Amino acid sequence: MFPLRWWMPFAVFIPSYLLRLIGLATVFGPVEDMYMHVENAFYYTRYGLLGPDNWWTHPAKHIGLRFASVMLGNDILGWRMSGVIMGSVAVVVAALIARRLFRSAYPALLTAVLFALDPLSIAFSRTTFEDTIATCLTLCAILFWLRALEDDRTADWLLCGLSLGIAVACRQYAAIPGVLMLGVTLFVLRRERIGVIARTGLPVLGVAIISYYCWWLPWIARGNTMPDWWHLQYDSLHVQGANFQGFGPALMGMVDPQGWLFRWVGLVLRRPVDGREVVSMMSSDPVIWVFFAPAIAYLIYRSIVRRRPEWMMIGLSFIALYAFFVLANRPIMVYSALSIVPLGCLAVGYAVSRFGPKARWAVLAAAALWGLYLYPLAAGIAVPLQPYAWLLERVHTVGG
Amino acid sequence: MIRKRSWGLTIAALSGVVALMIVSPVIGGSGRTFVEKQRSYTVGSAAEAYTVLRQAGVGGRLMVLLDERANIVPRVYDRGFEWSLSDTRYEPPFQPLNVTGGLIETGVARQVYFVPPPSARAAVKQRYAGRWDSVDDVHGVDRRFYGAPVHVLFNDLDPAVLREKVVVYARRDVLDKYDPAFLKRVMSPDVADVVVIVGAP
Repeated sequence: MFPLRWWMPFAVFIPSYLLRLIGLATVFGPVEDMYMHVENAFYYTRYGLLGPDNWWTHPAKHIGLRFASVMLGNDILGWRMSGVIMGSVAVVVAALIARRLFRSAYPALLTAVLFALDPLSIAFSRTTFEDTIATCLTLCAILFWLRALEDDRTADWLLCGLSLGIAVACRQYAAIPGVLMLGVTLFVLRRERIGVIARTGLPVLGVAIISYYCWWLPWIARGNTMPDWWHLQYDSLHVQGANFQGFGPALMGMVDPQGWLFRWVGLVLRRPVDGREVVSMMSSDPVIWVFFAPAIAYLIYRSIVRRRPEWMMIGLSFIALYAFFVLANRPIMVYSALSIVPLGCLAVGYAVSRFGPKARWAVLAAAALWGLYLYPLAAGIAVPLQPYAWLLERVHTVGG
Repeated sequence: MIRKRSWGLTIAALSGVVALMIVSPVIGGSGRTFVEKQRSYTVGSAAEAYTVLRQAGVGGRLMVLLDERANIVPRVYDRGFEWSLSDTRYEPPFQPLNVTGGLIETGVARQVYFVPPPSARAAVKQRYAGRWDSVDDVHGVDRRFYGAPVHVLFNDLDPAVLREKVVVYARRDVLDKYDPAFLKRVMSPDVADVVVIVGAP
């Protein structure tokens, strides 16, 4: 593992931050919804109310958004700034994970470049709130988990539980990597005595539960109790379960020749779309996403060959989260798949690092150029569309 | 290989979880105010009823609503959206015409059992038919308002399902449309410790 200099995190953070910051106040996005979210943030922190936002929205979002609007400003810039910061931190954490996983500078560098320039990540960091936090904290949990597996420091175990608990409190899908981390941990420690495992694992679990549940205290203080909480969770799953479809309908949208390349993972809009949807569609960078599947397959293969269960955890997390999102009936891939991107970038970073020295630097340059080419579309910056004509035609947006 | 740790941290973490589980019901229950003896109020309007209940200090309670208006449960999302666009002061929205919403929003009611009179049940059912939530003749319809369950029942409420005393909120002009035995049961001191009758006698 290459030594970590003090300037390295800043060297990753600052470009990522600037890429997300430019034009932040003017970029279009779901600002209309934000008035509802901000209003709910006020109601929840003051009265413990779960409305007028969807009542199943997790309260950690309300508290976080209220905190952000007080600390960073109760306007578009303030609401979005927390996403910009957390999205930029996520890039740094992803690079640190790559450094710890693959013990080499190149995968960390390519992961940082891919993730920093990823259109989905840029769009999310500027327009959503809880997904960016959930992804950043899930990555933090993975980093602390890797450190804990390696060095067995109590602080790392507890920080892993803390990060994961808050991540799940923002978005429940963050529990998927958590379950996989638990499974891989038990596999790694399978020869340890049960008492030793319990004394390490139960505090992590306890911290995760507390850090998840404490966000509900304002709601509890309104008179609700544990049975009410269970009812709310059951109803929430019932309502949101209606958003999921079977494998068949999910995969049907991807069967035509261009489906795999330009309408990756169900991003199918079979009609002319406006400028906002162009950004949404380009958010899931199709060219990079094409490489995700083989890179993940390669990572899993190498994890078996090299007996690296933590690599397997990354690969399985990608697959599990991918399956979760691709089965969603709504175009959830557009706005909820941020958690997949860093895992895919990690796998691509590792796979490319196995190529020859010349090829991999060419790939790094190509990835950076491609990301910069797409950046205006992802960032909503007004540019001449001529350089993008071929691309836009492929996604049925020009003259369609 | 992991090192052997003491049980201290495990005990501390699990104690935290247990404490949270114990403290939660205490916190939740602490907001509920039960009165020792049944109080009965007769008021002229929904706004007065709102004021009376707020001044009585009841909070976090089950509320049984006896009314016949099919639109007693507001359209949550649309109303919330209107407020958010129009009210820049972020004050809690209060609708004098819809006491259900006001009482939920201000924490008096944490769940509402809406029992329309038998003659109005078809109209209420018609209102909910065809929506995403299924209409069940036995269990009625469960809806949410700001996360608070609102049970719309198409049968007389069996007080046995209520495990605590309730606030009964009734409109006087519909009382004669209910089964007297049901009214007597649901308004008895064993079931309701606060009864609010709205409308001039």
